[in-house]
Amino acid sequence: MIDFIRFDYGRDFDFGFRNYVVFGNVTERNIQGCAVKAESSKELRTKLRNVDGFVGVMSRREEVNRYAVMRKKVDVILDFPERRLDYTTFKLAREKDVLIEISLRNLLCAEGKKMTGLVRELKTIFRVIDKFDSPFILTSGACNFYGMRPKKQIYELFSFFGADVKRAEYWAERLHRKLFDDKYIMDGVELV
Amino acid sequence: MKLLPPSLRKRKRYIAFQIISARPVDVEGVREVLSSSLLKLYGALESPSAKLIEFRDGKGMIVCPHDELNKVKIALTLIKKIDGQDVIPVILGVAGTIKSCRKKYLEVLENANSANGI
Repeated sequence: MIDFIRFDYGRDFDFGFRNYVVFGNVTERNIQGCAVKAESSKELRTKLRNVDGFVGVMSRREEVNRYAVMRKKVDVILDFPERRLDYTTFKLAREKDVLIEISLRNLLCAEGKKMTGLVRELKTIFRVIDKFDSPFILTSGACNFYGMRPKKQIYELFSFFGADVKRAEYWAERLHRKLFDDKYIMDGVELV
Repeated sequence: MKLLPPSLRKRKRYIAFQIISARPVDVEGVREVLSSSLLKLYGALESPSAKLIEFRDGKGMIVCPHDELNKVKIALTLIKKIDGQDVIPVILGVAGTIKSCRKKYLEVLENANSANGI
């Protein structure tokens, strides 16, 4: 299982994840992810030309996220408190095989009315994900050590809000194979 | 009602947990944060009745009705600060009795050392 974090974690404590992908920070101990922040499609297009590896896109705008899902280089749409996604993005994510990150960090940051809105939105997101069977991953999205939580707790929490945990585990396992298994080519095809 | 026959009493679950923090946290702080977290998340109407029954050396036990176990676990997961310092609440496990909870999760941690591989 894989967790997406935003800082270089030294693995001092076992949270139940096998590997960590670090976005927006340099790492030598974990897998290096490449976070691309963009506010317009043009900016995204320009920035994507210069990046390589495991690419994640961060954008507040729905249309940029929708555009990002259609790009071949993009592997994941990263989560942060101001992220907005529309219905079409989930459908496209399934077709283009792009992961959608859903992180615990948003819930930890939110309070009061914001929290109510966030929980409502989460429930809707999980319903849409279920409908299209979009690839998604449940992560901590932690910016520091104290933002991390054990895998079991993260999965239980999202399961309470309607996430299909078994499916989430399937997508996480698939990503793990994609990154680490040299024999894996695609679903149902592998080198023997 | 004070005393109910056993068949009418609600079944309980005991949650063993650990608080990871830079400095040690005290019982009152944990108790206060737990009840405020439950109230904030579920409100006065839906809030589950959870009680901190012991807390020592960063490890403790919470008792709650068995049908409200998930709610308490989520409230515990969403705790981020106790007495102004950042913490990580880690749920060690859930048991049906105090004795088994202590034996399975809390004593195991106390007796753990690198020599026996635990």
